Amino acid sequence: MSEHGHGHAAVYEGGYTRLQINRMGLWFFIISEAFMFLALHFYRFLALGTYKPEGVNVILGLFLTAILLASSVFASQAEKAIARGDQKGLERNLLITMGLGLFFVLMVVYEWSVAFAHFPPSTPFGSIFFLTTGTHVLHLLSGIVILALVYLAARRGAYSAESHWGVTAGVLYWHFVDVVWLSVFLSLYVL
Amino acid sequence: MLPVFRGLLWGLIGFAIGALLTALVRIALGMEPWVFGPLFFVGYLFGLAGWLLGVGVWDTWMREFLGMEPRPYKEEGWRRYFGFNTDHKVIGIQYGVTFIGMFLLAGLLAMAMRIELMRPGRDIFDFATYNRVMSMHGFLMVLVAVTAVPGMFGNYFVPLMIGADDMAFPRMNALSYWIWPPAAILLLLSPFFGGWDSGWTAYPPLAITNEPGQMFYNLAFFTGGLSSVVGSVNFLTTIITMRAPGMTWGRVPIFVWSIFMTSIMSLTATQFVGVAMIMTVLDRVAQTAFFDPARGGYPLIYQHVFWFYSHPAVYVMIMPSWGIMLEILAHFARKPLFAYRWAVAGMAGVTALSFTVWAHHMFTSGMPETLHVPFMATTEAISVPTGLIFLAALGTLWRGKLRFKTPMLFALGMLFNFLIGGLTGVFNSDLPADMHLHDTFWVVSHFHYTILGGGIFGLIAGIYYWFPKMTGRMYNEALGRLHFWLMFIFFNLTFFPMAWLGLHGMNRRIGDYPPDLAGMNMFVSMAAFILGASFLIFVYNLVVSWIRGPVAEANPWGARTLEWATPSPPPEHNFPRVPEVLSGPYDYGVPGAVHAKV
Repeated sequence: MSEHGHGHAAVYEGGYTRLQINRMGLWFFIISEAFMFLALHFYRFLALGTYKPEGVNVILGLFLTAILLASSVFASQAEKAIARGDQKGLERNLLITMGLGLFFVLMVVYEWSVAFAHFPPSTPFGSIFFLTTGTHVLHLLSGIVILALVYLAARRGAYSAESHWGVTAGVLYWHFVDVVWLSVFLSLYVL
Repeated sequence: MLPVFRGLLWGLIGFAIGALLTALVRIALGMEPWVFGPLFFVGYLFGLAGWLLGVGVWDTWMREFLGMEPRPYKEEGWRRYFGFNTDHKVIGIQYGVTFIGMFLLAGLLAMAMRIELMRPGRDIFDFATYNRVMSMHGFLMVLVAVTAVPGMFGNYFVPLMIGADDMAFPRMNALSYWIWPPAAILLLLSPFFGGWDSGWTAYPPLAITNEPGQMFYNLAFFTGGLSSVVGSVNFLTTIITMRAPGMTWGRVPIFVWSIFMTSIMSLTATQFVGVAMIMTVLDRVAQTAFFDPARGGYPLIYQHVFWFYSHPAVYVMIMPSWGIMLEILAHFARKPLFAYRWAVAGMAGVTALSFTVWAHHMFTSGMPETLHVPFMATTEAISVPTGLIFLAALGTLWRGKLRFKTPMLFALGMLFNFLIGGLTGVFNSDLPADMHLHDTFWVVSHFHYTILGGGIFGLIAGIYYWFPKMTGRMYNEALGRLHFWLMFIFFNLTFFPMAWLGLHGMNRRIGDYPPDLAGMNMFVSMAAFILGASFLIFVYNLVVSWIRGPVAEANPWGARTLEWATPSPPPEHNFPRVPEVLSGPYDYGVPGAVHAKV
């Protein structure tokens, strides 16, 4: 996540610091990832309109949304903790975030087992449902791996109040995965 | 061990793990375990991860994450090209050599196609094989057209032209190159699994029901898309944050602008083709119903998702070459770039409109007729910003002191070819005409005029223009001009008659045609063989000049942009210190104007 480069970036036009450059790169990456989900929704609405089969569980979808929103709160707390130099708070909040993420994955797997009976992947809606939620789960799992690496680095004391780009990046990515879930929820459960 | 070999080893291990895991899961679910499709799909994804870890991701990022000292790849001489080297100049050369090789290979396939088409009826291929050769030619050339200029010149010259010491993310830059070899391996292996016969566009339902070689195409496209995304993140961030002090947006060289606009398109639209590829593979291996009409899927939607990327992609192919063309025209006409701001606006306009025109590829597909006229209108509107770029080129030439060196010849050739490409395109965008022109050789003529006559002419112009900077040696001017005249004349003799052939009923993507078109096809084939042979001169010139050409000066063209203000080839960090930019890069003939203090 951290990109050291040659270090004297602040001399360039606009005076961007290394931290700002890293942050901009991550944002561009996030924009690109958002287009991946846009493509999935593009298929969903172009092919199926707002068609929704029997058995889409909005209540379960709301519950999933709540888990993720809660995890984002803890992720944000983790970043705030290290910003004031609180190592223990950082580690604790990271663990809770990852735990909620894992819980989310388990709930999605449970949901898949139910959904399989109503709209299996061999139907068009089932195809886009499983691919979209599957893509999201893969993003979430990669988010958990990233936060786990951040956690290991935090245990080694790699971060301080002044320098914690790794935490910021991991948390920003986590927020993205949560926000993009809202679009998944709207596209597949609500509309 | 060279990182390439470690990458291969780890990649194979990854493939085995992925395939075995899939087999185990399939046994657990009570399915037949040893089925090629799913095992290969998951195996490839694991293999790709293994390759990337082995070739350099482990040594750089993972060791750092795990608290160990990273092991950057530092080698000298030829070995520096065979590892995870983060120097943007090394990466530019890696891209260049790889994609020129790919270009020549795809060119040989075109020669084979022209042998088959010399006479009507079946000659050297059966018609199924013809379609596989045509598909491979098309796809390899598309990859070259999309990647060669940004990969080779973007990486090499964007940091130099803006006065930076490297890209914003040097390690990600290395990653963007090393994602490519697995895609190349897939494409080379595809013929052993039946190849694919659905062209470079691979529409379902054919792409769901044909040989397993189709999947190699899908996964290679997906992999290449990954590299595009990584590369464009890097270009955008570099251009925004690492311009030398004084290099305001109004002083950025036009080539850098073209890479900036190109990156906006690759950053976003590429995800669509990635999704389309994965959906097709899932339809093949997991019995999903995205595009398969047999399971209630929607084959037409594939075309929407595919062209939502692939139409912006044709501007990804041409825009950086426009940048090269405008650079060269200004430097060799010894005049300020005419209407610089309008040229940039033109590029921005093309970029914005490129997202709104995709369904003009689908006028005959049976899509809802309400979409016809809007897409015709947007498509014709895109010629307005394109015209701005054209006018900037003409205005720059107007009353300039033209110096007809090889790069200038290719830039002028590109201007001419692209004009014909643009004019033939007007008929394709026009609904009533396109109903008849669709899928004929008219279209083949049109897109070869834009992509080969435009994009690749720009690439070759750039190769001659920057050859002294990249290699430190001068190419042979006489051979360069000979190459230009052969290529320019026989390019036109090959592709202009194709428009006529299309109007007279010759269909594309079929290895046969009505017998009365035999004479013109023989003519086209002969012209194509000479066009192909002209590349022997090109390759000979490059190889011999690189080995023992005369040593090049720092600035053989007297050009003003920053890459010429440093030795040829540039030292490791490009400039002794960060240059200070004082005015625009194209103030030729302006007394006392200095672009930058280095």
